[in-house]
Amino acid sequence: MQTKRDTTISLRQAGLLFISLYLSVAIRLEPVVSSQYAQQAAPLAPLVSFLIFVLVIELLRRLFRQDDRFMLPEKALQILGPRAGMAALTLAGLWFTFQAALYLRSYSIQLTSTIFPTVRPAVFVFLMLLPVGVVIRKGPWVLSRMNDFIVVSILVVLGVIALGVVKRIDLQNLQPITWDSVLPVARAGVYSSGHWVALWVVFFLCPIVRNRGGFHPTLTLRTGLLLLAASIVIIVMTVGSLSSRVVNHLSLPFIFAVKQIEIASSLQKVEAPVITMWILSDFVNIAVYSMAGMRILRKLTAAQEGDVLVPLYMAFILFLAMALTTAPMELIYLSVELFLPISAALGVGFPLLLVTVQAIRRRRGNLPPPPADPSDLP
Amino acid sequence: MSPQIALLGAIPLAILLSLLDARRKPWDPRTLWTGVFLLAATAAVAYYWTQFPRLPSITQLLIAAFPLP
Repeated sequence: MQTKRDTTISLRQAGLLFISLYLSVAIRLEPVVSSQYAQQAAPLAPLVSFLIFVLVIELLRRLFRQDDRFMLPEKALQILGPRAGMAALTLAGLWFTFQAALYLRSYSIQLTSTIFPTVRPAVFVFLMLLPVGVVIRKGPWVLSRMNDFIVVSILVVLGVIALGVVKRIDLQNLQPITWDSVLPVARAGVYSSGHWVALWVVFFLCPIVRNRGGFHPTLTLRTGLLLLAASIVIIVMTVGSLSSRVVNHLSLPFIFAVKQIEIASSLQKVEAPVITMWILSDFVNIAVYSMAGMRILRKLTAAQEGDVLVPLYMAFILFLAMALTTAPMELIYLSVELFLPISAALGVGFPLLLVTVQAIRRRRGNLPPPPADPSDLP
Repeated sequence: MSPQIALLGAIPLAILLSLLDARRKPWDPRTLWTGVFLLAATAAVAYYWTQFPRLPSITQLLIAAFPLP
């Protein structure tokens, strides 16, 4: 018997998707950013980022307080109206497309600078886009089900690697922490919050339904606290074993820290499972941003046949990724100095704008009825 | 054959895959025009990329526009 295809994901699955998304970026950038601004106090920076993350979840909770299904594109059109809503969606769509290209390029450069130095990055870019294209056609619900397994494997590998690094951690590298560290930690936390508040992208994929927990039990307590623990572990592993002075001069310090692991004097080169884990999380990351960009493109143009556009959109992202940069250090600059602050501003600013305008329009009594289920999903 | 030329093969491949997916006849005009727009944007970015290193990358342009403090 043919059943109706489920075109929603639960809030729990959205949280799991965000964990993969976050870890893909955090492993690359979190030690770099935290160590650059907070030096030896870097492990405390995620606490500040976590507070900003909770603020964004509170904004999303207020935004969707009266809704059964959480759909950010439809909500933006409802609250801002057709013109301003379309302008906001265009901005979000461009941002997600650039993010997808950036992460695609970062993934290819991290592979060529760690294990395949003789292979051209374009090969990895092309190979990644093939499965991403397939999963975009299948839909976010398929990706989120895949991610249920991916996120577990990522966390298991991260846990095992953390145990391997423990004996290499020198506590001197994480001291002293005084009251003078408060401002640098706050600055590092605000900068790092760029990846924490990227949660809003998940709400662009498809309708998200409430499961047993609400926003705070599911996203703050489960997802947020797990990410807080994971990011502190990543920073302690990296800065604790290498010191902030060394980390500040490396483009991929986490891999460098992992390369030093030696178990029982014989088992070396354990970076292979880490790279595998990283590729999986990069896949989820690139797929989520591409899906969100593609969905917005369809929303803006009201194109009926989304599948036809997927290969063309993938080709566009491929060449955009290749044109982004020619050198790895340029990419670090682009990620840390430009994209991270913009990501933080958009991640907080977009829900804040919607909540504010919604409150004003509700008070004036001219808020349109909540959006119907989207028609651009199968 | 240079790697840049080889990667340009992705554009005809994308067109082919899109055409294989087009099930509706006549074409949905909005899908058609969105596809044409995407194709033009892809061709423009691909052409820009083939001009490396004569032209700066997008990051280099951004670095020039927003220099480090």
